[in-house]
Amino acid sequence: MNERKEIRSGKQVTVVERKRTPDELEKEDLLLRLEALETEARRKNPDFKIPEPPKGLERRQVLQP
Amino acid sequence: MVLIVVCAGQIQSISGARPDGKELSDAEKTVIPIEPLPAGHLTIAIKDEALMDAVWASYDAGAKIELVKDNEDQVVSVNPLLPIEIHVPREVRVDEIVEAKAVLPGDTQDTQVTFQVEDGQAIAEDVQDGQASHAYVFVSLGTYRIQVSSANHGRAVAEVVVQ
Repeated sequence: MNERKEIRSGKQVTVVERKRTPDELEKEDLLLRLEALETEARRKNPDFKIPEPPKGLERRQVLQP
Repeated sequence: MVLIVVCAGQIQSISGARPDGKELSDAEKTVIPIEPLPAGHLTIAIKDEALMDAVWASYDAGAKIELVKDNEDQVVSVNPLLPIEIHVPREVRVDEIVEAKAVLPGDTQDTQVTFQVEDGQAIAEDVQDGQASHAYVFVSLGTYRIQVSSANHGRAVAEVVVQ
């Protein structure tokens, strides 16, 4: 992970840059696969609805309506 | 009940357990530790539930737990200092300026808070009115853990999802 000081919008900030971890890459890969499946399901059936998440889980939007 | 073993003005150990939400019975409140201790050691038994919770909160955060003494300089109780808090947005965008804020109790003696993103550089910021902050910009997607810490109030961690 690399860090450097910069001035942005008149404020000193620490800019953080790092390569993505294997876990993050795997998670993104799964999200992309799900998104492709949802797109395909909607193409075949416009009434297709994504199931609600289990209680206690807040789902983040991965597919723009 | 929480048992705190003290020796030479220092806390040696903290032990005990209480299920969440369970109130102590009268019998449990009268329990007295009888295990013999090494010379110079003494035990403080905490039975007040609010104080027990405060002790564990401080212990978990690594905050300082002060000893309370009576007029004869005998340790009679403890004063767990409130843990530091971290406030940071949960989700941010790449290249967005993110303000990480640390909040300390109003009467804190700490003058600096350290900010650190994972194994990155530890950056000290001055405390003003019980707060300190540091601005970050994340230029890569991912989930980052930001830790804040201070001398007397332990540490707190928050995750930021950069998308």
